[in-house]
Amino acid sequence: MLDRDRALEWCRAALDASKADACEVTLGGGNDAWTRFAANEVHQSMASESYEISVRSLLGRRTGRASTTRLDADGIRAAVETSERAARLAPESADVLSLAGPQAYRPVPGAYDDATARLDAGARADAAAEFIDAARAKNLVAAGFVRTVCGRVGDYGERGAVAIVNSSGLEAFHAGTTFQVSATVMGKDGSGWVEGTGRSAGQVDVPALAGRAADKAAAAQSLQAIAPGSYTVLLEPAAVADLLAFLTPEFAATVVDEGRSCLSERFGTPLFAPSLRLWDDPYHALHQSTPFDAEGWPTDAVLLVEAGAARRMVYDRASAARHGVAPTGHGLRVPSPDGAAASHLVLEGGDGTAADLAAGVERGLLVTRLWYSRVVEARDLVVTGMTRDGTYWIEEGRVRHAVLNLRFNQSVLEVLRNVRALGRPEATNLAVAPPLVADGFRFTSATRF
Amino acid sequence: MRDLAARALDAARSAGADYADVRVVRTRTQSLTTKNEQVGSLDERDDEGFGVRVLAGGAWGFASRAGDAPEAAVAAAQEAVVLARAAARGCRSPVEMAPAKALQASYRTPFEIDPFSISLDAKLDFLFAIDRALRAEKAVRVARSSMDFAKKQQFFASTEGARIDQEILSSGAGYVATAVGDGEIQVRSYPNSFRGQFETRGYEMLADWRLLENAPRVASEAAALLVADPCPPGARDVILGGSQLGLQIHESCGHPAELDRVLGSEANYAGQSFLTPDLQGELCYGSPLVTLRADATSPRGMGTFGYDDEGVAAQSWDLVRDGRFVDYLTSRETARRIGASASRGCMRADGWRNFPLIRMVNVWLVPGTWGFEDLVADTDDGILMETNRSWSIDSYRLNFQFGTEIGWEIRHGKRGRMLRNPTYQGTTTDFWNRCDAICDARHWVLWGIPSCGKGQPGQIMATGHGAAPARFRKIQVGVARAGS
Repeated sequence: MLDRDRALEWCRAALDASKADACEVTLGGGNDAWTRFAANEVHQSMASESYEISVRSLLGRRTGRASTTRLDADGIRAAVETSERAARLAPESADVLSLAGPQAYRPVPGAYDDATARLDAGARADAAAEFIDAARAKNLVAAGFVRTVCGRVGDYGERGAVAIVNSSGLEAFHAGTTFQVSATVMGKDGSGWVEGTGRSAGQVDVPALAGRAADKAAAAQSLQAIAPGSYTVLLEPAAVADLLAFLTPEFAATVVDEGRSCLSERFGTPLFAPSLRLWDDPYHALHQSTPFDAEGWPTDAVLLVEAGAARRMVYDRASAARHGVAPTGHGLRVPSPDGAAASHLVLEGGDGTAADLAAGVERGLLVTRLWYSRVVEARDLVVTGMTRDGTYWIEEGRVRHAVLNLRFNQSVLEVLRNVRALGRPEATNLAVAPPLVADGFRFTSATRF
Repeated sequence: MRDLAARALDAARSAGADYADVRVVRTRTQSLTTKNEQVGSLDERDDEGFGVRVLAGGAWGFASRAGDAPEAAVAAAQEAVVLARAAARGCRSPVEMAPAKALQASYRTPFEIDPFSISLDAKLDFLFAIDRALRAEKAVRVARSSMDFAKKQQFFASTEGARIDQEILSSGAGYVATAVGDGEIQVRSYPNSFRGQFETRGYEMLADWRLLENAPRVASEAAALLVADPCPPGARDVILGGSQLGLQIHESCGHPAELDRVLGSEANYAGQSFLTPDLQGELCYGSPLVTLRADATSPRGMGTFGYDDEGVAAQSWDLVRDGRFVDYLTSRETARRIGASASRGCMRADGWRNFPLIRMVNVWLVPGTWGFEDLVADTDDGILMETNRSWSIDSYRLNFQFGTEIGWEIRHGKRGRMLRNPTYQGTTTDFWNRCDAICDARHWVLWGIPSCGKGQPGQIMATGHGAAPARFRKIQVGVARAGS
């Protein structure tokens, strides 16, 4: 576990080695431990500790970056020298700004949990056993993982910023933990799936999730075919988050300015259901994420969508300067082609559970999660993908039976325009999202399972 | 590297491991992106660390650390054993591995020009020139060009006595023109989408691809797509260009042939596979023209290496032969589970921090006999589709939908109007059984896929897919907008 003093010491070592006009040092990474299970057995148990220093040197309006996982004196010095060499060779750019000075950051009190940081492989194996036992009790098979992160490590090992220090006196540090579980439970015909994520293990009710996964799988046997077509859907939070994640780059000022966003020239025009409120909010109780961006700028909670329209963009410092507004603290690593991203999405909801929402559906489909979703048409954000691990037919307000999985081709904007009910938001791996009911969701083909 | 590895293996043995291997990996990467003649990103990365994998109590444990400190090697090996013992509590079928020779060997990617010897300003100047050429077309709002280079040095050692040095060098380059107008956003890439073409090769690959020379054509196609007709829905003959066919092979043949997926260990994320063991040697996967070869030895392939991350030598074999599904991509553990005598050598890890998984080696479609122009002339009512734009397939690898950047209608043997947003959809075995013509070796290219994701934690791996353009009869096209 890395404390503030050690993190800043590493960063300052790089700063001390710098000969550039200005220098920004980012330390990212952490401890990442996984216990994986499949076929009702634990099959891999692993742990990695990995930090990376990334140095950005500025020479006037030129900038260069170099990164290293070699955190001894030689490794850090080499990264500093490489970044300076890159800066000397880079062309001048108006978007290269002088570095920000010291900033004040909003506290995120629930971001770090010491007990979660100290969970060991035995505790993870015990959590895995909950899923395996629940599956076996119903003669089903479970596969999944239990994961603990101390620091910031992405799903693909991306080392997110833990500390940023620059030569203008900025010092930022954020300690965070994550506890994450996910399981697919399978029977002869169909499967069910759950995920749980929180900043502490105490926020994730593993026995309840294990029971839910097994129940979902049990209800997914004896699949019936359904004709592709346009249906009312009840999307569970993971499915909603899968679609929302496509909006992450679309609110970035640079992307909007360049006409590459589905929202370009559409801000203020009716696009969404009037009741919809979409935020980018790292401080939300179900996010509790890092309070600064890749430039060390404090992140604002931004209301992106309100009263049926996109209202605000997110900015890094360069795009904010171009627009003559204050940065919102959503900057990506500089330099970056997109500049910023809305990566802490929160869709506001109501109080009901997915089961409560189902009661209001006359005929439709309950979708547990989506899979392999990809943009087909950029301007209207048309996305294709599959349903997976629990798709059920709803009739007269009750879930009746499971159906074969379906492929969709659907505009994300249209889904959010056609929303007619929202439930209680949940933390997912991609966003804070409620279950929702939307009409006119377009399924174009079916598969064999 | 060798001293660190020896210490880790000794520590693992002392802690009670029944088997252990260690990979010490140092990777240097350089990634450049320019956007509209400005630096979009410029990152040089030096990544060094090691991973220790052990078997203890019949289960796997794995621990990894950055850096090269010998004391960390001992601690990581001991931790890996603790992790394995914790896993063994929930493991009812002890892991067994197919035998493998303990090789003492080395491998190095052949190349002519080390890309790290070329100055940064020369690289940037070249990318800026491409940006300029693309932006000469006024509808092109954003020109983005890129280069990516990686040199990975790895030492593998195992308690069975294997000692293997490898150095893999890869180079990649490409660009994309984004045109905006008429209520549309359209992109056109070269040589391929998603940062271009990648090869295990040196800087010399850039000249072969004539990047700058192709920029005006690519830009004008992006602009023309803004006003092109949408791809009409219907059942049409489809001719897929080689790079798109490469991704089709990747998703519908390579992934389902990974034996770890088949046996369920990736079920929670990557999914499973329709290619179950009872179908091996039996399933009519495609038409008799279709032979799909796995080959870790193909020159310049991104899935080319000397030895996998279990120390098994690179091999070449058929997954589908004359239309019939015949074999898998395997590891030592999974080979044993289906009764195979040895691993096919497909275990690879994303850097030092990850546990190796079964990853695709190069998988390629054996060329046919057609000339490309002859194939177009032989097509009465079809669509030629080139360069992937979107890709999606279900978790058993059956129902897929792909979109390409560009299409052209073919009527009565002639290429006609350009079509925007072309898509096609099908089911894997039905689709491959509709293959009735494959172009010959003159049109065959081994395309590099730099970033295939798999596993929990997620791992990125490169591979290669060779293909010449091929025709598929009566495929559903225009599905994304049909009925909307």
